[in-house]
Amino acid sequence: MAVVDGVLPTSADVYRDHVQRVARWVSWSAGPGADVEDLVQEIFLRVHRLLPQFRGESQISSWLFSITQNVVRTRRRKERFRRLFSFAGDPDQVQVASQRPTPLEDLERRRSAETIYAGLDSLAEKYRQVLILFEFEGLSGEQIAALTGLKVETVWVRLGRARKQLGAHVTRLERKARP
Amino acid sequence: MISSSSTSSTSSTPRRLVDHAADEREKVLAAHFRNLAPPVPLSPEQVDRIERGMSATSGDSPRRRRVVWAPALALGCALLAWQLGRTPAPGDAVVVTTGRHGDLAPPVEPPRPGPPPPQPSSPPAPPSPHQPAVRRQAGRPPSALASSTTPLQSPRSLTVAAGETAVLVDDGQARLVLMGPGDVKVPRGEAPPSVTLSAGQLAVRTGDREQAISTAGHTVTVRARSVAEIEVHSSQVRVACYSGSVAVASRDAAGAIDVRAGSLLTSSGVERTDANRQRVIERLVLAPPRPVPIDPAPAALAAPMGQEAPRPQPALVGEGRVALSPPAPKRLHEEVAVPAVAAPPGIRVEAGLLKAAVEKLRRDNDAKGAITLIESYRAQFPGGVLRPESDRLLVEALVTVGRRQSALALLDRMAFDPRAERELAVTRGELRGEVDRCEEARSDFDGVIVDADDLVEQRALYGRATCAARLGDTRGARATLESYLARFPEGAFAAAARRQLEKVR
Repeated sequence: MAVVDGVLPTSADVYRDHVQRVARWVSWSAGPGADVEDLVQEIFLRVHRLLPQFRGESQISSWLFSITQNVVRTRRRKERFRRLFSFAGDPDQVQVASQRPTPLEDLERRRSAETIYAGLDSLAEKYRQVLILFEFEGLSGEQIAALTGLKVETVWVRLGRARKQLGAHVTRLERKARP
Repeated sequence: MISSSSTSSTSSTPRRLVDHAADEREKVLAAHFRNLAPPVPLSPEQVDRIERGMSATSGDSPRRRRVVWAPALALGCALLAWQLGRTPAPGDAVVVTTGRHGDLAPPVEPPRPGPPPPQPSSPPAPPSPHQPAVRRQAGRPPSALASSTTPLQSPRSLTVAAGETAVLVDDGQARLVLMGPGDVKVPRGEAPPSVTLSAGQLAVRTGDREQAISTAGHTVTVRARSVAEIEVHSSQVRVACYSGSVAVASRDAAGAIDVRAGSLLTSSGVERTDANRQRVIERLVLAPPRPVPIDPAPAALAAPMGQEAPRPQPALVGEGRVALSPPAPKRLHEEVAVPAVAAPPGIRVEAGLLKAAVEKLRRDNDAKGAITLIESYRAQFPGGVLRPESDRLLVEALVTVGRRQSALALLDRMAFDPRAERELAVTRGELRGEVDRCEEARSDFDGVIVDADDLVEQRALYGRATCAARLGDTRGARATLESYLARFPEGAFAAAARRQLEKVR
């Protein structure tokens, strides 16, 4: 969707055309246990409020992506704060919805998600964002650059650093978990 | 592919790690990435719900909402302070909570919208000690309850009709639950009083002191820390003692009969009490005062004491009342039974709520909505006859949304026969296995394996093998996996079982 002849799309149009994509971004960015539905609603409420200020200077998808990142980042901060003050936190919040009944595969999937997202939480936002878009969303460097407003070279640099830091973190976690 | 050490180079385009991992560290990462489940797209119902939610709130910017919240919070605090001022001191007040009945007190004005009284320091005078009070809550939200407390008026008797329940609470010392139809008198100025029960059924839980119940022909003394049920028909009395002890003295004869816990005294002698009835009574007398549901007294409460637990089919008992008791537990994926058309309204309301939850969960694939409905049902009917069904439905919904630890906590509290409810048992086993409670999980799986050809059997076999492997019993794991593959070569877990077999060889 784009701004055609200076006519802004309505928030209903934006919602209809982008809701699934935003939900996917939210799922990847917020990680296991996130209330995707709630986050998506918050994002589109913000879209509804900010749309009159959107001048069409960037792609609407990049604009949506930046809103998504802001909302998810704020929510993650709140969650971290909540966990900090509730000592153990809500055990259900770190769980991953399972689609399959296979116990072992469920277990492996859940452990992978916990490991990876624990690692992602330790990364700076700029690295985390690029890594998620490239490795999980499967976007190309150019697409990431278009979404984030970065240069392609910067995307690659950030991706390299993100991988390096995440790899180190995961290795550390696994070493710790080994008896 | 540019490895992590060379991604800063822009001469070639990096490839995803899952497609090409250069070194050991990247291979580990790639393995984890492969394990991640892709996000599930929003269902059309979710898309609609979000849209509806947006249109309901889109008029309020956060700033405006904050502005609205501030006075709302202030209003709430002022109301709370006012209510605290109005609530009578616990003292010896008797609080009567009734359903639709209201012959004890003048009608209470419903709370009026608008600001609270400006001066919390000028509330109506609370009842004096030994001045019983009435609380009526039918049709009002709980928040309005405290404001409706008024002194008990003369005549100091309480009558409830069929389908109503009244709860008399005495400063934590005693709790009396009158199940309609029934009639009691509360003497003035005494607490805990010697209550007179003219007719009907009264469940009594005493605190540190005993409670005397007078009837036309007997005096029933429920001793301290006891739970009993007293039923009066004209001059006849039936007394069931569920814990502690009760003394029943006849007005025509000297001496008293001691009724001990687990005994039921009737005109034909002493029998054992019914365990199901005991559960109903314990729930009643232990439950805190709560808003009475649409049909305040499920007819189960009107079942005469000592009767065998009836099935969901309505059964006429005694004076034309209908008795129902909790039905046998259902399987996890079985539809919740909707009672027959002749079922009393209370059961219909319960069944209606659960039916809506089942539809939300299985037809609309909306587990979150289903959980909300089930929780609302459980809040409205804490002792509801369909409580076991609600437990099972809640487990299913919690598992569906991924709240597996909550589901396990609920399953741990539930009592059921694993052979009769195999799916529930295998689910519990899987959930226990996930949190490293493999010994218990293995016992769950063992209880489920019955040589059947269904998916539950497959899940149990595979789960048992997984647990055995994690407990270090590789031989057991191997044997179970081989047995699984022999029985279900094309089974749901055949591929996974083969992979596991490779690992434990």
